[in-house]
Amino acid sequence: MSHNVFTITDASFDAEVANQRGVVLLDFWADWCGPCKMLAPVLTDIADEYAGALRVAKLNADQNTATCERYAVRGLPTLLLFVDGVEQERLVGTISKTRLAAVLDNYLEA
Amino acid sequence: MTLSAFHGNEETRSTLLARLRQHAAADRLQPGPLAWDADAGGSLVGCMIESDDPAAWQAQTGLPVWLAVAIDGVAGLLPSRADALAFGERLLTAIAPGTDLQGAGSTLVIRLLDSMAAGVPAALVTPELAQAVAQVRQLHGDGAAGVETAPADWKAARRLAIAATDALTDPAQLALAQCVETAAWNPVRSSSCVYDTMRVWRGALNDQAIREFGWTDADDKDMETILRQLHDTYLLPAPHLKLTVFDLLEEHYPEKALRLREYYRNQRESGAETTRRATDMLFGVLG
Repeated sequence: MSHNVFTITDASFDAEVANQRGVVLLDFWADWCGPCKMLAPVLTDIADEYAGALRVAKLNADQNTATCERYAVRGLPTLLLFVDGVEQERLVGTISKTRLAAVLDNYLEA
Repeated sequence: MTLSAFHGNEETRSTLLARLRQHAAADRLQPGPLAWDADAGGSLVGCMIESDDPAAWQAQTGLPVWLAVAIDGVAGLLPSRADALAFGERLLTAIAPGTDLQGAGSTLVIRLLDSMAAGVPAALVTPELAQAVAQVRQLHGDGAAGVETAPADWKAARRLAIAATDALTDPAQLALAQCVETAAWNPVRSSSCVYDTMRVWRGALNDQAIREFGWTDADDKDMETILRQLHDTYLLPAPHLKLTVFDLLEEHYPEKALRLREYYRNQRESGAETTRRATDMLFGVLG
C-alpha cells in the first residue's frame, strides 16, 4: 500500500478527519468486500497523484462501527470527502480514477 | 526512464519465481490488491517481492508499476489460488530479461480501446466521442513509442472524454466512452490506469452479456419483490425452518428459479471469458 494512504480508526477519526483542516478522502471498506478490493488500486493511485493536496485514508467498517453509524454508511465501498472536517461528497460503489479525480478537482481547484 | 525486465538478469526472475512458489506452497498467497505481511503472506506481487511498496516492485524487478497493479488485478479475478499461482508463473516466464515494458501499458490500453470500439458501428459514434477516442489513442500511441506526453494534455483528454460520455445514452456508445475516459491517464505516471481500464472494459463486456441474455432492471425488481414476499410469508413467521428464499423460489416459482440460475450461470461464464480475454491481451504486450 502507498505510504500516502493512512489508516483511520474510531479512536483517531476526530483528530485525523473531523478536526482536520484541508481535504480528506475517507474510504469505508471491509475485508470481505470484493468491490472494495477492486477500488483499492485506484485509491492508492489517487493518494500518490494528489499527495500534498489531500489526504487519502481508509477505515475498516467492521472494526470501526461507531464512525459508520455516525455517518450512516449503509453500503461498501463508500467514499466520503471531507473539507475542513465537513462531509461534502458521498460516493457509493466502485468508481474510476477519472471520475473520482473529477470530483476531487472540483474542490481542489476551487 | 528506461526499464530493463529483471535488470537483464535471469537469476532475478528465478528468485521471484522461487519466492512465489514458496509462499504459495505455505498457503500464504492471497490474490487481491497489492499486500504483504511477513506472517500472513500477500498478493501475487506481494509474494514475489515480499513487500507492499509499489516502488520496491520496480526496483526489484525492473518492471513498471502499472504491470504490478494489473497483475494483482487479474490474479484477484481468477477462481482459485492455484490458478493465480499458475498465472504468476506463466507471466514471469513470458517476459524476456532486459525487455523495457514501460510503454507496453499504453499498447495494452490501445488494444482494449480498439476492441471496445469494434463493437460500436462507426455510424453511431458521435463526433465528440470520436474526438475523445482519437485524442486518448494518440496520447497512448505517443506513450507506447516512448514520446514524452504532458500531464496537461492528458487532463484535457479526460475532460473531453467525460463531456462526451455525459452526452450519451446508448449502452454500446456509453461502454466505449467510459473506457476512453478511464484510459485517459499516462500509465508511466498513473499506476492504476491499465488496471482500471481493464476493469471498466470487463464490466462493459459483462453488461453486454447481461443485455444479450435479456435480463433487465424489471427482472431485478420482479425477483426482489418475489423473494421478499417469500421471506415475509414463509420464513418470517417460522425462523426455525432450515430453508432459504431460493429453496422457496424453486418450490413456488420453478420457471423463475430456472431463469435466475441460468442468469447466474451466464454471468459466471461471461466473467470467466472476459478475464481470459483480458489475460490474453496482457500477455500479448509482454513479448
